[in-house]
Amino acid sequence: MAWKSASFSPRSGPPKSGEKVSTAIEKHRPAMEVILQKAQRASEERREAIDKIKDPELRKSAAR
Amino acid sequence: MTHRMFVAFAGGGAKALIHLGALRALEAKGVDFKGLSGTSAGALVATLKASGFSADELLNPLDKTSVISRLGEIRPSIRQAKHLFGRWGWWRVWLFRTAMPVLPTILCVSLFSVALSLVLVGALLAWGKIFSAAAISIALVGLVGCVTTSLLSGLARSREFSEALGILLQQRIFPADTGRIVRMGDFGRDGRPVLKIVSANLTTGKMELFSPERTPNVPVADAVAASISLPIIFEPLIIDENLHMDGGIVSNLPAWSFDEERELDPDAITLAIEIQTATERRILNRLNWLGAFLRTGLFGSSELNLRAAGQAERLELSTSLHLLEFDLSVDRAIKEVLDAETAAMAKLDKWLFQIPETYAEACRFTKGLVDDVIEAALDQRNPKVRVAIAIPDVGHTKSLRLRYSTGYESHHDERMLIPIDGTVAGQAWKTGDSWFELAPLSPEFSLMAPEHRLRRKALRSDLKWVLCIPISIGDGPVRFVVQIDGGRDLPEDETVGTMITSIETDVKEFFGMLADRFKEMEE
Repeated sequence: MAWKSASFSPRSGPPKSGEKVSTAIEKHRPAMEVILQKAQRASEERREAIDKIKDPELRKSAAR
Repeated sequence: MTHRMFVAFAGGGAKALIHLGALRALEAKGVDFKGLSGTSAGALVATLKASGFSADELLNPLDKTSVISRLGEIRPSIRQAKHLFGRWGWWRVWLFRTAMPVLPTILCVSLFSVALSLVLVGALLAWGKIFSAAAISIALVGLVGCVTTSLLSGLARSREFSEALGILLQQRIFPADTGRIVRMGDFGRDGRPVLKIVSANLTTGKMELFSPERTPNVPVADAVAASISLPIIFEPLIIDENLHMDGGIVSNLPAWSFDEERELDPDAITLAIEIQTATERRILNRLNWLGAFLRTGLFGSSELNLRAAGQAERLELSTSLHLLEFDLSVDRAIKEVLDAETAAMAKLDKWLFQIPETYAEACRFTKGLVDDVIEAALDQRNPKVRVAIAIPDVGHTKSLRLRYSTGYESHHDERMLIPIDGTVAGQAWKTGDSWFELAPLSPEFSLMAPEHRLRRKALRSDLKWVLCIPISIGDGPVRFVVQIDGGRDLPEDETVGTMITSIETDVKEFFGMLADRFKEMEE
């Protein structure tokens, strides 16, 4: 396990449902990609906008 | 989405031109201005905006019209910004501005000349030339008196400007009521935002906050004139037998003036727009510290203006403009305003709009993912999942703030400040490991100390489990913790172990990539 716990110690139980979990997660991959692309675009647009600022002091403060 | 905002504008003379750029950015974001405050030139911008002027009306980059042309229609002598200083005022201010860099030299030469004159007077007296000595003495006293009086009483007069401003405000707010004086009490009602203006009341020795509640009868134009009365530049202003000077002496960035309003409306954002002077460190020694001392005294405590509850953010903008550069061309002014708009937009996106909204969207997405995974693995519907990002407030080192949350609508711990010591999120923050705990939480995560009494009451009462995942970029330090919790029991078996492992892996990867995309914006 990649995580730690002071209160959870798994006992044997019903059969592992790894496949169901993977399917449920896969369903959300496209939405995840959309958010990441949006973040990438925002970052690039910001860089372009800052590069257009002529006043050097304002450019520095915008980049901070 | 409309953002309700209380906005404070810092003073800064001609540098305040960049407030117009910030205003353009806020208007483009569709901000609903609930209150505006300002000091000095910031007070003028706040007043005009509160009176209903848009950023375009203050300075339109397309047709190059500005509020100065409107003032010129009222007082034809006002044709450019420099004419706000009165007929001869601008020339005196211009001379002062030109002389400023060589002021120490001028002072030394003046003192030397006075000393030389005194020696000459002594010599003339010794030679028995009493009348010549008396004439030089009178001329010397007269000259020193004139210079001192001129500096103490101010190089420029604000009366003409304040009269024109008063009429301009009346024409905008009460167009059918010629002669009506617009007073502080006219703001904060009839759809107008609250307006607050700071000046230094030298008579009482205290800061004066002009506001609709405290000073409802004070004419707004007088309050603005008092606030802009920079010592030496403008004459001090007397209101109700009290002598006022520039508010920058006491509080150059009055974001605090909305403390009560933001307690009453905690979802509203308070934005303090600050003008920074220089970005580089100054090289100081034992002799050249005076200017830096004054700058630090006036502008150095801006962080204190935001030390209050609520969502207070600071928008810092630097500019190459000089404090007294009121004679810049319209084209340069427009360029500066458009640059400031771009800079403000970039910073607002970073702190208030794009990044926060994307993280909020990522939290909503994560909730949907966890809901689906729990349903798929355990056939458990409506697991009452909540997701938030725990991240330190600026300057905080012992606590994390729950932000960008989803699922917290009916809970009291939304946006709560949680200590790093004694919480699962804090443990994840400190150790860099993900932690999954079932309720009831062990004493080390239960905030048992007496100082947490109120915090314990606000915690989720139906908490059944919590998963905290620290997010970092590569091997870097933890940037924030994603806190996911649920309100329905999870069985303590291998299925849950597998499920939590999958959620942890995916959420960590997703938020890690998101933080990486925003790395440049955040740094």
